Amino acid sequence: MIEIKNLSKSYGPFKAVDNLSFTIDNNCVFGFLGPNGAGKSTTMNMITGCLSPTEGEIYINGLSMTDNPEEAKKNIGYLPEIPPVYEDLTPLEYLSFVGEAKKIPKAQLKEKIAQVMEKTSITAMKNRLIKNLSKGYRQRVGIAQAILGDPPVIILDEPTVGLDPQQIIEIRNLITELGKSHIVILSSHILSEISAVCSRIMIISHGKLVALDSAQKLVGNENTEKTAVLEALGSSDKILNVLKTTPGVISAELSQETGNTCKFSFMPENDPRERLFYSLAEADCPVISLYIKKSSLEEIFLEIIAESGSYSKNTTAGGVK
Amino acid sequence: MLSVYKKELKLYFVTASGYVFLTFMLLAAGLYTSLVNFVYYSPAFEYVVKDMCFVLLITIPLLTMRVFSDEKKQRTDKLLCLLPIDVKSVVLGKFFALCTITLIPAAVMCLYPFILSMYGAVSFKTAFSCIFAFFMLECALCAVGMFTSSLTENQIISALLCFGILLISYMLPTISENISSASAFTFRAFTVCAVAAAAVILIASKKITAALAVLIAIEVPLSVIYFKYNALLTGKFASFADCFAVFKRIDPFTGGVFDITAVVYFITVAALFICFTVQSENSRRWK
Repeated sequence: MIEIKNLSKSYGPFKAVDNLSFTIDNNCVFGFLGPNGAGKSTTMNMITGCLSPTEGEIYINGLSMTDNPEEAKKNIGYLPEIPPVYEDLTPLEYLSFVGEAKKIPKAQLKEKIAQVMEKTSITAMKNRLIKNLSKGYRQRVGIAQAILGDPPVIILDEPTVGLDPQQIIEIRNLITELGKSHIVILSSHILSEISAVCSRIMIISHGKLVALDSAQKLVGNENTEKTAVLEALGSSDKILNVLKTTPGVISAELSQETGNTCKFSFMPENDPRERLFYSLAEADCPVISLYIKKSSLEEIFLEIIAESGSYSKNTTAGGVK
Repeated sequence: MLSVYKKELKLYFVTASGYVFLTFMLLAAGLYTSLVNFVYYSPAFEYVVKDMCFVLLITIPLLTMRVFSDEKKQRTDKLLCLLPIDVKSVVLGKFFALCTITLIPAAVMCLYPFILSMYGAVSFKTAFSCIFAFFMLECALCAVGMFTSSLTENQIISALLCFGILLISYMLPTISENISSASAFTFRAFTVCAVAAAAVILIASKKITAALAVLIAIEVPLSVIYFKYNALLTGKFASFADCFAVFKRIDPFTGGVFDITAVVYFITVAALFICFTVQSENSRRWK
């Protein structure tokens, strides 16, 4: 369990993290989002004990990071943005050092190292110097270091950066697997990754918490405006007429007309798709496609961040970093 | 602490730094023995040890420059932060690994008096007490180097800083012999030191009140002594400067005296710089 109470970090007059409070009490993969400079890394560094907070308390499994850092740290595995690996050691030597430092009993150390190397698929590379490994393998060694000793809380800062597509799938599967028995906090700029593996999402901006909810609720938020898109054959006037007379269709607009095909968008209420299908069929306007567009996490993220003032609402998805 | 110690020791021998240090030290020990003992037909190994102190000016910065700066450069300092080991254990682990490396040339040097005894009368007690003092000196200097390494992530700057401190300490006996013992000079010299100390505190803590407090705490009693009991200050700056002459402490050993105060001095210097290193590393977590 992670409990964060009124966490703040100031650098002179600049507040990097401002009165952040949240609790994660059950095993899940927790997505941690925010634009550059929002305070994500600062928060993660404070949770892992690498940085002291200006104010506030951090409890890991009931252990205070301020009062009892050594015990609290035993419950955390952390992969920072740049994997903290010793280039002149081999993965085996490196993991032996980490295991000993995490005070894993000597009798279990070999077995535990073999397990994490197996999980992260680095067994074949265990005797090569880390400086001779590719970026992807270094990242895996970093992940192995984080999960060694089976800590109940695992924090991963951009774990799939530099990996090839196959490795990305493997690591995502590993994260999903870990999420079943651990609290995994995952920070990533790849929003599709977050929506693919995270069951809860937290968004921070300017050091403040701006959204915290389950991924499902956040994406399918009732307050989020939904749009329906209709593509049908026939004259635009005829189709618009049908749309206007069908209950549940609000503010229909022609968005595109190519030859005999018209594309409309409207706001749906109580899912009018079935009614609309029959009405258009009666009016002899065959439906080519009809669907309700769900907001993606990308749109939700931009919407929330724009509200908090970090980006304008017009920022394109490609502009998010 | 043991895990850090083992890791550090391993790193010295998978990188060149450990081998470079040992090569320089053993080469210098061999050369000095050939020159002092064999060329000049002298069985006194203690002079070799005294001359070897000069080599430490180069080898200690080379050995210690990577201790903390390399961790910062490779970003492995974060790993040390997040592992359940406190800063004190990390610093001690690294210090003892340094001591172990410096013990190797000292141990090899212990063989030389036996070789020399085949050709003349060697005072084993003097030779071994000298080697012991040399090892203690190495440990104290390693603590200084470790501290300078904790200040920067650039190994070159760390080595230069360490070399600068060691060089000043090496030259201090000569400097203190040649400075004026007049109380007016002593007053001025102490004032310059007080201003320098206040400046360092101001840069490190960015608190003008702390810097001013230090300046006043030194300057007020100093002025009182200077204006009221002028004679008390005579020659005091030279004695003050002598306190920082680390290398000079080995002199009694070469004269055949086992100076316990020097041993305590070396331990104190090492402990002081270990504390400084712990503070320097701790302060980064608050930044």
